Amino acid sequence: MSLRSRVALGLVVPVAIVVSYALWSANAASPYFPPLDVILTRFRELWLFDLVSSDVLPSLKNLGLGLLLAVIAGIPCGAILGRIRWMGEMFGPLLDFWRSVPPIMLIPPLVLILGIEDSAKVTIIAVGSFFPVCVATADGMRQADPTLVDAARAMRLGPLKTMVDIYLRAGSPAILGGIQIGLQAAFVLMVASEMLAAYRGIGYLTMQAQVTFDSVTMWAGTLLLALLGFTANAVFVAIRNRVLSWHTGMRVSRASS
Amino acid sequence: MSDTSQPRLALTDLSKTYDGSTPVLDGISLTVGAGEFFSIVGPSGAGKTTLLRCLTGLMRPTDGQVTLDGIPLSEPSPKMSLVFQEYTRSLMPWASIGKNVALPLRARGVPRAERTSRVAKVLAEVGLSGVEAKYPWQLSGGMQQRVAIARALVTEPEVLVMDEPFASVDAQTRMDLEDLTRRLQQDHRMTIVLVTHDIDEAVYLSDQIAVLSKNPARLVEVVDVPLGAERDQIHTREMSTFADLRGRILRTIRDVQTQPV
Amino acid sequence: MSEATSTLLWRPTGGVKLRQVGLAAAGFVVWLGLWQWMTTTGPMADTDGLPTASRTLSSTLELAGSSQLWSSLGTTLWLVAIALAFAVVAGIAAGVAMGFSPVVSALLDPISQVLRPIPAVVWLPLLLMVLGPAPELGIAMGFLGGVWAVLVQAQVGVRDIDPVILETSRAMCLPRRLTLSTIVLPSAVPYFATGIRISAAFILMLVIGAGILGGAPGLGQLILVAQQTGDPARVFGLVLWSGLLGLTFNSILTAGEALLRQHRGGR
Ligand SMILES: Nc1ncnc2c1ncn2[C@@H]1O[C@H](COP(=O)(O)OP(=O)(O)OP(=O)(O)O)[C@@H](O)[C@H]1O
Ligand SMILES: [Mg+2]
Repeated sequence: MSLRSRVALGLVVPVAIVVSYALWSANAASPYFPPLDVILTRFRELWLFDLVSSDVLPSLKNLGLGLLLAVIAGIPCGAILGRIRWMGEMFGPLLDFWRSVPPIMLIPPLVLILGIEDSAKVTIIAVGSFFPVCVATADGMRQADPTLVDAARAMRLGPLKTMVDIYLRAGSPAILGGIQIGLQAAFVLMVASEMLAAYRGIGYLTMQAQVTFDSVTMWAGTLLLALLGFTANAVFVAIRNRVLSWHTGMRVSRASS
Repeated sequence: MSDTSQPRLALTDLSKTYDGSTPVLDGISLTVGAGEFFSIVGPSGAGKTTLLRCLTGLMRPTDGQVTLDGIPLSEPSPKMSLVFQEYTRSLMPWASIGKNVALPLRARGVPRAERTSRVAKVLAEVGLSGVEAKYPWQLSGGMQQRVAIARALVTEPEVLVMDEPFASVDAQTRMDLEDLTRRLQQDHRMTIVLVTHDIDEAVYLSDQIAVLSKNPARLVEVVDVPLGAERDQIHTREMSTFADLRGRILRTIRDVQTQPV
Repeated sequence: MSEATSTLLWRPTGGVKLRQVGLAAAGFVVWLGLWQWMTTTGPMADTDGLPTASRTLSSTLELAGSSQLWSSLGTTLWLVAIALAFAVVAGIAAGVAMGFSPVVSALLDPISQVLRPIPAVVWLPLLLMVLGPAPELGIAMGFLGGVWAVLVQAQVGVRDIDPVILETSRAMCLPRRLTLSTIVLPSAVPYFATGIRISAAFILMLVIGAGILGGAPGLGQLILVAQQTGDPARVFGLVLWSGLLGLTFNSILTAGEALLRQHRGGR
């Protein structure tokens, strides 16, 4: 199939959705489904760029900070659990348990302890995204080829260098996978903690709009959240593909030989 | 060959039994003199890799001792380098060739500028100039093997230990790599311990050959190879001494294998 | 969305040994001991909202005897099952069609790639507005979060079929319908299983999330009420229950998937 026909076909569904929504919202005049241009106007009023510094940037800062803390804590913890056998056997199951708690479940107890300030949000995000990073790192420790580990020993690479240069690098596909899940959890927690308990933020504004039947603002908020969720993932994937270019290259060359 | 000084490498009564299985190595004693090309031959699965792992200090023998220059060895020594049987897997797929070869230098804290120049020099020596920026998986098997050899040589080891290094390359590459190894040994006055199951290769390259039996591996005999220092893929292999030695070792191995245990 | 969402770290090899069970139990004891110490004499002794470990444990046990917990668990699992059924049907249908037909793939791939990475919580206010705090909210959220994993796996499963087998069926002049039902679908079954496992984990998370954020019935609603009535021990007890539920759920799904793959001799 030619590229042009692929693009044409790819546009069919989005265009159909937009057109049918526009037609329908214009005729039905349902309070839930305001016309598209009204939503877009509100989107521009709110997010370009009046509320960016008061409601968007603080949320994103919490997200970034929380995820960063989770990565800083999760990688060493995972490395210890993955490399020291009795530690893994002792705390692996505990970790499995905590990772099985749906991240959103962590919000009520943590809000009870920490309140609803930004620092509390950072902690909630950090705790929720810590588990996937830690588990993935522990799992990634198994990816190092034993021959390579032997080679490192034979050349007397110290324990720290072996960890950084061999184990963490060999495990980086798994670890980055864990960070990606961590990012998803972080995003969910950022939005959910604002919806549940906050006095500002996109999640808060969107939920408030829903509660007060301001469907236009709610749609504008939803649109921004969706956009941010998509972008966050896309940025991460771009970074990951750069870091892991060796991995893709290797797989392609192995597959073709 | 040179019995004057103490041996560079000495194994005394080396035995190894993996957890809960029958012994793999049984009372192996041998000595390797400085500057010698020493080969170990034995059937597949005999325990050659196990022996190498013990003599490089990667693994503790169940019994017996390894000494390097008279000092007991319990962990890998900086004087020794190792080329693995699974050389492809011993390279880091995420690092360029330059970084791969430089790794042992980084382990020793050699400054970056010196690392770069030494890596370039050793890569030239193995006939791979200018591949520093490539990744291992972009090279052919024979080239990857040269990289593994370069990485072993970059620290200028006194002893180079190689585990079936030429088993999985084509015949022409194999001859090239054999000659390369022999030349490097002569140039650097290195001691080389080479494991192989190819008798021809062992005879062609070595000054001495140890023959192992299987189940468990015992030392059957050590054969001197009086073929001189200069070897040539065509002439050496045509010499009658070569044919005699080859026949003798093959016969020994066959006799060991057909003997009732 | 990655595989790692629901695989477990704890994978005892060669049968579970006493040593491993002992160490695992010791891990939990260390954690609870540390918690108890922190909240009684340690630095977090007077933290509002943080119950002691012993209070939490007794509330967890208390919950085991309450019909409220069990009916909430039942509701949650029921909603998960319904959402999963929708996600599996829709995901497999769309995924197989996309894997099998280049036209369908060109039609749906772009939209799927745009929607897939968007976390489903984003849709919560919208769905809450339309559906209200009803069971349907949990089902809709679960569906939106869970359908993608099935879809992607189905798509990959169909695309990964050994081309030689497809050529063979072409050589035998099998009609496309027959190729689909006798070759494509059966060989993609292990992928469906993986997709269902990953998807179910997401759905459980989202059904509970819909309860906490939107008041949909089930475990999430229960914890929301406990938080609003200011009962920290109950809140923490419910968190432990949700962990237990998640762990059991994932273990069963992982075991089921492994069994299926083994049975089929697949990878
Ligand atoms: N880590 C291990 N644990 C248990 N048994 C092992 C281990 N490594 C090797 N063995 C066993 O020891 C024996 C010798 O293995 P080894 O790899 O040393 O043989 P080899 O002579 O190098 O074989 P090859 O010629 O195939 O390389 C084999 O029977 C093997 O199964
Ligand atoms: Mg071997």
